[in-house]
Amino acid sequence: MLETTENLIVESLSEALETMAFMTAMPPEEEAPKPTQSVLVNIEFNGPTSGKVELLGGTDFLKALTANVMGIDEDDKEAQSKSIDAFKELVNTTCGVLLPRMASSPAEVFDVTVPQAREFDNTQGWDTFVAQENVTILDVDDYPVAVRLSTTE
Amino acid sequence: MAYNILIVDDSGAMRSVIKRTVEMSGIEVGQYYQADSGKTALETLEKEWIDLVLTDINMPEMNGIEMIEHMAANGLLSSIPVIVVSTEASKTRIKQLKEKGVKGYVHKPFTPEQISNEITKVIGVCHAGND
Repeated sequence: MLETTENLIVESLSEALETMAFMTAMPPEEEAPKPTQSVLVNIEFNGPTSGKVELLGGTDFLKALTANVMGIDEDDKEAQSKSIDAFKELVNTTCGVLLPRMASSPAEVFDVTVPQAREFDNTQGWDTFVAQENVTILDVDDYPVAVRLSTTE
Repeated sequence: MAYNILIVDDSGAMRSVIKRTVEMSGIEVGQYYQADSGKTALETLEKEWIDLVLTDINMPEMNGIEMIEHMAANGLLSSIPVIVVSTEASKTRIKQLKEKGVKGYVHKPFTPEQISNEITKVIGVCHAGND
């Protein structure tokens, strides 16, 4: 069950990243340096199954993600100013890819919340999040990104 | 004919992506308008001539479904075609959206082709309906 849940969220995040941002998520070959500044985004869903999807990434990853999503240079000021916005959209889209895979029928309805973001300006935020159960760390174009799916029946 | 398009999404990044996708599609656009919620979209619709609305569903303040219901209840606004661009995938909810008058649906994450195909289809359908 645990492995299935982990596979579901990793596959959903991978698909969202590839389609939205042309970025590839891979299992990390070696431990990447943890980001000193990071952002945690989450979205909750309620329906036949309820739960929460959380993503944690460093600010450098967010800039790269935003640049790819918007088709602009990483040095562009919008890559900075819209980075949390783009990261929220990534968790929203990941959840949108995930829910049909969790549903037992395409007719099932889920309600989702508006994505929320929390910023950390030291490594403690990263350390605390990745120490939790069911967290998977992925290598996304050389940036570490942590993901977690929590469900309640 | 150039179309005035209103893009409604609480994500500024996503509004930029949709705008860029429409630009790449070759559809002739007169003016782009943007709104970050259903409420601000309705304010824009009251003030400006809009030919097509592309809207998200999951937004704060007023979500896309509430905005579509307001449009459907307003004589002038009810004739403006709406395409939903959303992560929503439930067939039940998509059917409900179509019953409320939504003309097209694009599931996020989308490719540029999916957006441009849906716009072409909806604009074509609307032309056919007006002829």
